[in-house]
Amino acid sequence: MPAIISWLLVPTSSYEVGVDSQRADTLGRAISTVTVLGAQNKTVTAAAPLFRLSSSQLDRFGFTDMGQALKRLPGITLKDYGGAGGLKTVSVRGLGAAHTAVVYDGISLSECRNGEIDLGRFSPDNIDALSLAVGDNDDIFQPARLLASAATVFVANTPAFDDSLHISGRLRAGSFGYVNPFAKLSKGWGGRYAANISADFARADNNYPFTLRNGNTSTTERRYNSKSAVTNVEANFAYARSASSRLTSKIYFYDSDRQLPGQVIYYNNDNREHLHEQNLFLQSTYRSVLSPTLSILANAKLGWDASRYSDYSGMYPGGELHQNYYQREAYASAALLWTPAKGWAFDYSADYAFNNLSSNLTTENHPYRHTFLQSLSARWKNNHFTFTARALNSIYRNGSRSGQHAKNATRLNPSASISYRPVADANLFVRLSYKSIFRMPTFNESYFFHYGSADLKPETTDQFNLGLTWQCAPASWLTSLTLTADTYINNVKDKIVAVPYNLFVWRVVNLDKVRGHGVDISLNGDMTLSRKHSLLVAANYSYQRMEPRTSPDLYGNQIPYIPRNSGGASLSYENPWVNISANISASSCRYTTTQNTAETRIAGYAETGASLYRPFRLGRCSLEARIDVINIFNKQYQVIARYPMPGRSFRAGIKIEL
Amino acid sequence: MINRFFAIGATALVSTVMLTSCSDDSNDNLVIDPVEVSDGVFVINQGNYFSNVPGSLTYVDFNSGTAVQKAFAGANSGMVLGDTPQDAIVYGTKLYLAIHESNLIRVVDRKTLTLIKDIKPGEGSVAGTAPRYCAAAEGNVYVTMYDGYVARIDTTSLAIDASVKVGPNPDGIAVYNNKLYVANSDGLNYLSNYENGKTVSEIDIASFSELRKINVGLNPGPMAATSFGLYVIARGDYMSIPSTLQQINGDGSVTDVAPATLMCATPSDLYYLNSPIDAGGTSLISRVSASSAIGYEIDPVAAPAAIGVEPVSGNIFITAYNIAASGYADYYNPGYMNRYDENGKKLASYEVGISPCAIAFNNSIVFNVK
Repeated sequence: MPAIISWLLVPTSSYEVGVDSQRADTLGRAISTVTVLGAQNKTVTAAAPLFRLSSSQLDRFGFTDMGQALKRLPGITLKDYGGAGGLKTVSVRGLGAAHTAVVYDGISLSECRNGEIDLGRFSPDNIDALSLAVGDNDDIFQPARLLASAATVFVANTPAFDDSLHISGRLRAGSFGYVNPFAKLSKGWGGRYAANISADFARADNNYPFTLRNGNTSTTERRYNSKSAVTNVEANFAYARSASSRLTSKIYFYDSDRQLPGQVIYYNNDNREHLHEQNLFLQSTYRSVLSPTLSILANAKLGWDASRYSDYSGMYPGGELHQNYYQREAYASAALLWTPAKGWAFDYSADYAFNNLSSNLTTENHPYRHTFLQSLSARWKNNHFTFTARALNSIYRNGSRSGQHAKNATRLNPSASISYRPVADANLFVRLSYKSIFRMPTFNESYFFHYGSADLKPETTDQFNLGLTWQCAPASWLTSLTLTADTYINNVKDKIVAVPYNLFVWRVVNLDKVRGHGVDISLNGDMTLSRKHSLLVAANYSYQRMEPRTSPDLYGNQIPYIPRNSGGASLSYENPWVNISANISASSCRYTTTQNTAETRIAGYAETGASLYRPFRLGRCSLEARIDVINIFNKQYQVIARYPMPGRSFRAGIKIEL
Repeated sequence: MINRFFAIGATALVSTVMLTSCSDDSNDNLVIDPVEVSDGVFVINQGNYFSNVPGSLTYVDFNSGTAVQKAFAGANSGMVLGDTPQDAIVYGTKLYLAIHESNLIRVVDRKTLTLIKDIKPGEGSVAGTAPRYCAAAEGNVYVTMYDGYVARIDTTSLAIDASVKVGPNPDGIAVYNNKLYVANSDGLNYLSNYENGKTVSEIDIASFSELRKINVGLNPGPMAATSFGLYVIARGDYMSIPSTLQQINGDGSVTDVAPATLMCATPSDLYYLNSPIDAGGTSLISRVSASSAIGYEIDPVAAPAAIGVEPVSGNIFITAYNIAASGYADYYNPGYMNRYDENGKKLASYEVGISPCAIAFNNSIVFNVK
């Protein structure tokens, strides 16, 4: 039992059960807390930037959509197309969404067609933790695939459960037709088996008003054709054969059926696009301590993904356009951790994945890809230093049933990190890391008719990071204060971009270069003002200077959609009456193209939200009532050009736990 | 000697002239002489709405020789012209602007550019949305609608009064021998290689009905007519089938003229140029009259977007994209327009907007009273 709880509570570092949990297992119940603390310390000691929002932070800050939560992680630039159910992708430190892996409970979500994972599918109050890792960490017991991207967003959703039956539910409703019921059942059996099942459904009209500036006048318009209905159903199963050997499995189904409002077009709001996406996967993780020096981690996944795009605007052949894409994935991974002597740890991980794509297009090539990844990592640590070095060998073998298949790639990528703790009993860590990695062209970039090119090379990135973390508990009322500051250099070569051949034909080529540097700062504080009054604060700031280096006329500009300055702050005040949380996020201006002109400039903004919530009991049930105000000052802004964000809106909800 | 001249709507004035002429016949020696004059040239810039840049109108005034950018916005309190304007035509005292993404036809005064009326295709009972190209004949302006129609605008009521089904994806339109000809491009069916884009629809103007479909090359787009011939450019598939200029003969057969990607016509001449993908642009303007064919060598234009010939002066105008430092046509920055005399000698170059896709001359008929 405690063992289950312990690893369930450490989602972000759950890949590193080996050494730490070995200690945990021998010391029994008390150690579960140590492991939990260890998880928090993980973000402190990390040799490369690792930022984390725990379930209680997510809850107390009152984030009602993933966008708000993601913006709390320094270095992230969120692409938000507006509205509940709208697409939300992230780019980290100016590297682009396709360089960011999204990992759900230890295994990557995959998207081979366009390379972008929509994080809007998750709900911040239904996940256990959200974290961001940039570059490579000293956490070496991982599947090789998690090392194959420049940055990784981890989403964890393995709620703790014990022998009694737990039932929880939530109903939330809000402006613009938003309704979101949620229910979850969980149960354990004798400390060896545990299972849960949850279902989350959200629908919204998203027909919110926005202000459209047109010359000297402004008009109030409305978003049309933007209804969405999103369903998430998942079941988790866990089996602990012994305290040091566990199997977890997840079956997950996602269905997003939505109208697409499209970009705002002047004088025309008649858009008839529709997108129906479905994703089904089954994944299992097995981890076991084989001997005092050897641990194994095995992962497997089978996935299926459908994306059906329709346009009913009448201009297409037969009056309707239907483009249906289907992707399949089979994935297996094994990692072996060897800890031969004090301070030393070695990991060998090997991954294999098969992906393919089919569609109803007459031009479909039916591409597929075999991916073989192997990593060898070594770590040495003492009281002051942690050194990690790694080599990742990637082999991509592309094929297609017809047409010319995309280029294969075989590469060896090194990465290394050092963490230095100057004073043994002070939580001050200095870190230095380097990582070189690449992304393969997506299937669209390689194959799409009149657009893709089979000759594309991978897009490569180099990352250098120098940073520090300082954590202390300076006063009895200030129980924790954590400051992180990182500065980095990020360079991108052979960046894949679409260029016009003429008005009708665009092609993708390896054209652009980006030279970038930046600073990420975060500050977290936990204050206990009195026995019943506590304050939680979090602030983050990012400076991103991403210069296009493709041609001299662009030098000095900023790449599209990356603000030079961005950041935010959140505050939560818990008290015996009604708890209050508030958050603000701000961004300086951005440009829609590498040409930074007045016309391609999108104004900066600051957006503020607040929540009131109060837990109470009703018989055996514990309840929580909550009211959220989003965009209190009704600020009109855009993250993506011509995708206006909602103005002031409200949400109210009630949560019940039995 | 010119005593006075006045310019009015070409259609309206035909009758006026007749009346005047008739009544003037009884007077002695008063002769009314209709003369076409040109005040300037409009350039329709598509913009790039994906990057948040709407379309705009550039006006080059021939008197001052200067280019005024965002001329529509300038005359209408900064109002945005619209997203992806595609074509325009001057007819009578008005300029008609077909704005594709905005699904809008704007009617403005050709001199002041103030907005007279917005026509919203598809809003009434007449089918057809997403305007593409314009032509004018006998008091009406005709606009191809990308969802498969040609719409007729009554220039008195400034409303769409009828449409005729053509398509799929009708593009260019021309008037020849009292008939309309529309290129059925099937342009949105590129995944099936434009399989239904191999015809030109012939439409009777009087009955406003389709008479027949004439088989032409693949993916027909631009259409033009001189007094001696009707032409279409079949754009091919941008891959193995090249873009070809074809003449449509009276019996419905077609004759390949030359490889070409852009063209325009005056009553006496057809002008074309060829700038296929990856060819690096063009340095030749070809001119075909009823009896001869000549070519003008010009300094290379790397990415031409449109060609127009002002019929009074014979000046040739070519709009083009600039080439970005990356080597590709620049769809994010303003393009330019070159002006050549009737012998292909370059006279001037003007800055225009982003993606200058169409040219319309601000010409009118002036009646010299002697």
